[in-house]
Amino acid sequence: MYAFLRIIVALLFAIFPLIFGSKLNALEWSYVLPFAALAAGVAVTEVLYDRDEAAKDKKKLKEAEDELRVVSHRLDRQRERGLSMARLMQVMIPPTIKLEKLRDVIEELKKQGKANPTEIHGFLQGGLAIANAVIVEILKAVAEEVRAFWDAEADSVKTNLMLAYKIRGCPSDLLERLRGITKFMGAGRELESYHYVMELALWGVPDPEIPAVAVPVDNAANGMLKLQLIPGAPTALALLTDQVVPDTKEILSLAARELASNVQLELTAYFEGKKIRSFACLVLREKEYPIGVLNIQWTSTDILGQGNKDEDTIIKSIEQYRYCLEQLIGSQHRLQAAAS
Amino acid sequence: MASAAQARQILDSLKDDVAEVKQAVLDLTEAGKRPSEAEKKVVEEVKEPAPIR
Repeated sequence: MYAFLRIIVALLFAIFPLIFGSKLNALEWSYVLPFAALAAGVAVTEVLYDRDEAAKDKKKLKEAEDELRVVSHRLDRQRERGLSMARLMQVMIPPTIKLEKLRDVIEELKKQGKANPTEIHGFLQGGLAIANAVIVEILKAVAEEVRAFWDAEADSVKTNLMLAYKIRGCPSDLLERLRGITKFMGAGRELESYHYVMELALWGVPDPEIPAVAVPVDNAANGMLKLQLIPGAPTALALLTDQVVPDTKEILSLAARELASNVQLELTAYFEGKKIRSFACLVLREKEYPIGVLNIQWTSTDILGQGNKDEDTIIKSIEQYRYCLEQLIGSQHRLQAAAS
Repeated sequence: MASAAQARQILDSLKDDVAEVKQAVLDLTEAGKRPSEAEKKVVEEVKEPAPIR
């Protein structure tokens, strides 16, 4: 406002003598006084303009200071997160080493016949339970990583672990139990006609909308069966490639047309009315074999973003956790083998 | 020579490790608290400093 007023007053002050020069020279007071008033007006508006500009500069400086404080706080927080993650990785190592040690002890006890089967079973169950407890914590950490990446609401990101069992060679009691909770089976097919079955084994924080479930996985080496693969975790396991379902409402767009129609209907119905809107499935391996899938789900679409950049960043931030999960599941397998 | 006592000792020690892992995950979660809220608080503190008594 003062900038505009300042120009008007200065302009009037400049043109006044041009129009009323003769009157001013003759010292006619009715012209001299307005001219003097204009001169005073120029001085006052200049002062007011300078004050206004100084106030604006002060406000800008204050805003810059505020921004600097926020950025500094954010950097502190990131440093703190980095240190927490490093600490987590550090404390993950001892349990993995000790589980291997426990396996050695169990193996030796069995060999020497120095412990009865009940004792051995107790040690095995103890070891498996410890590994599961650590796995649950890793799942929580993964959910926290993804939640923090998107600055999402607490509990909007959840994680779970699916364990894979090869159908051929699977103990009959386990197979029977899994048969009872298996969903998405092609019409007229038996569980034995699939290559693997995957069971939802552990949650970081459970999703009450998703109860115990197992899913069948076809053999991708067979061209016809490859077309029957269910999108998400089964496809990830069969193809040994991480998968993402960016929108559960569009899940069928990721399936081949050949996927059994009853499975297509079941899939659509399964996600209807559930809060989960997108999920990523990361394959877990032991050597070159698939052993399970780490699922990360979100109540919003596009859990891995819409471009490769976000996807790469998220996957890379999870890699160390994936490695820990693979080590722990491997330890469980070795413990079971030692105790059997 | 392995013994049952040794196995029990490992299991006990593993329980302590789990407690440490749990604490580390809690710290990670604490460090990742929603920045918008924390930063809003910092900005409010800057804009309206507490009165000096």
